[in-house]
Amino acid sequence: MAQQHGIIVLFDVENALRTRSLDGNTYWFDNMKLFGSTGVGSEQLVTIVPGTHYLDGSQATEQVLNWLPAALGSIPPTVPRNYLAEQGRADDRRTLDELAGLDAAGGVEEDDVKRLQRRVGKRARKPASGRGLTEAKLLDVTGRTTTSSDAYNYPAPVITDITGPAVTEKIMYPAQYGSPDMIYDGWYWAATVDTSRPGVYRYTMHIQLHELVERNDELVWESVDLTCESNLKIINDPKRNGFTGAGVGVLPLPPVPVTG
Amino acid sequence: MPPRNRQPERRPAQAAQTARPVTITAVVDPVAALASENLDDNLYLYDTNKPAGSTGFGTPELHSRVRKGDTLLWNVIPLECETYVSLADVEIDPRIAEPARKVYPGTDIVFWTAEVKQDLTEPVPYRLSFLLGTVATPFTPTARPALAGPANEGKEGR
Amino acid sequence: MTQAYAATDFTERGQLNSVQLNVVTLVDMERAAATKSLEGCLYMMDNSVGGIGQGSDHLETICKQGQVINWIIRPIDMHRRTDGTWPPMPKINNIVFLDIEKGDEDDVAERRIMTELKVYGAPDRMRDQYTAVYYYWAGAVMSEARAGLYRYRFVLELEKEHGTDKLYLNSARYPALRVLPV
Repeated sequence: MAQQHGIIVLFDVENALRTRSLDGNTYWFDNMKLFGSTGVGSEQLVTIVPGTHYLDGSQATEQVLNWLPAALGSIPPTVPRNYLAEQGRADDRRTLDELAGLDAAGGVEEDDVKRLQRRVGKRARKPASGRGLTEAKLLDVTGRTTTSSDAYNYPAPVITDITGPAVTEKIMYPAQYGSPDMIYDGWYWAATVDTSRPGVYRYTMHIQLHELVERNDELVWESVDLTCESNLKIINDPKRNGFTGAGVGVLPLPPVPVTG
Repeated sequence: MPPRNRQPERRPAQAAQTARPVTITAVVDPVAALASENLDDNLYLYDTNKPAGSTGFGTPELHSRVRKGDTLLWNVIPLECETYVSLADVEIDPRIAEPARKVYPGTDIVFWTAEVKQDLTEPVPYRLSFLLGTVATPFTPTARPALAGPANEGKEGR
Repeated sequence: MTQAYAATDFTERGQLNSVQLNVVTLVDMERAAATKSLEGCLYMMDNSVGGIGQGSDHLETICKQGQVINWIIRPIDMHRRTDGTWPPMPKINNIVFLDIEKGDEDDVAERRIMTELKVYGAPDRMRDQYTAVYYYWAGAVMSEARAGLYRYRFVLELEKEHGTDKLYLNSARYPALRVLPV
């Protein structure tokens, strides 16, 4: 199987929420620049998909695309989310233990209470329709729980759908797949590509961002739905031996082993 | 010509605490950097201060607009979840900032943070170095990013 | 094949608990079918740093709390044949973590060290008849797993060259995860 494609989409969430648009706030990357992708790091990515085929015309390699959305200025997507959620729960257990140990009869220290309150942090209500928020606790951009609603960590943007000519013309077959890492409730988008029809095909990605708002004296995450676009460039070459550049077959080994 | 060294203004300390840090993110393709032995072509820098006029997005020569008192945070995003990249060092004139190495809680994932100690009249270049894959020596790009003062200040500093 | 740990294997060597690890097992399907056993049929490798037993059937994968591990299994011969048919394929039916107490090494573990350990690869919906369906095992090391060596057993299902019935086998030796503290 050929190397899997990783397509990373980096969103300037703060700006996108301010302008209510992803235009000018989206940066696309893939790991195929060496093979011919163009526009890596910009808004005009064209992802190369080098398909190869056997002489009988059947597809020789399967190309798989994987998408990973990320928020600029947030905790990077490399920090495992279920891990943070487990840490949050362990923190809460410790706080409960300490609360149980406080001796009310002797008078509780205000400092102790403040410290525990800080650790408890602040929670925001998840909307019924929102997706991908695995913790309700507010974190700051360094991963600590916080009570401040000014410098909170933006939750990871969620891809809700992939549409457009690349899908309707059956160039790619996207779906959501599960993952042990609960970044997006454990779902990420991947697609296989039919490389028999060379050309450039556009696709639209539907993104859900989350904004923290104060409503009736409580903090709520509200979802904001936006779209952005990118392209696939399918090329189709006959399968070739990477060493010789010739057709598939045995390697050109010398008949007699080289001595010396 | 206006004087180069201006007296830095006093700013109230708590303004920095609840304000959002300016995050400078390095997106790296470590596989391509190692394969081509060229980090500059596979390094893309961004920051969260576009509204303030930061330039050079998506290149190794990011110019981030910052003010005295801003908290800066540097982190890394690798292009593949199965490859390793980390920020080995952030070297900058200590009169401007003294970056400290930290990790996200409960992980060994590194980020660097610093407070901007002075207002900037001219862009101050700094040096980032990265650990890629299992190579023990850090890599440094040839091009340098910089910190710069606010866009409407200092007509003499271009 | 590395046999012993060097002191440097336990130091910071380009390993983060953010990196997804792949443990790849190659199966000699012919030998397994002929001997009805997995003895001498499994070759394991991972993309972690260090870890003894690379290439053997008792690989120790160095990992950290929170790290995601993907298990990929392949037959040694896995290309489509010229007549259009495919060689027989192996499948992991189960990954069973074993007790760490002396004397109980064949029994199942008393405590879980992995979270979300199960089969992955099915799509959320068949949006088209050609929507891809994969099959692989994966899980994440629990954040509260204590550092140490955790052995596991494979239960494998092997297709046969002829016929539709399957051969079910246990791995002859126990590979392991060596969990290092973060």
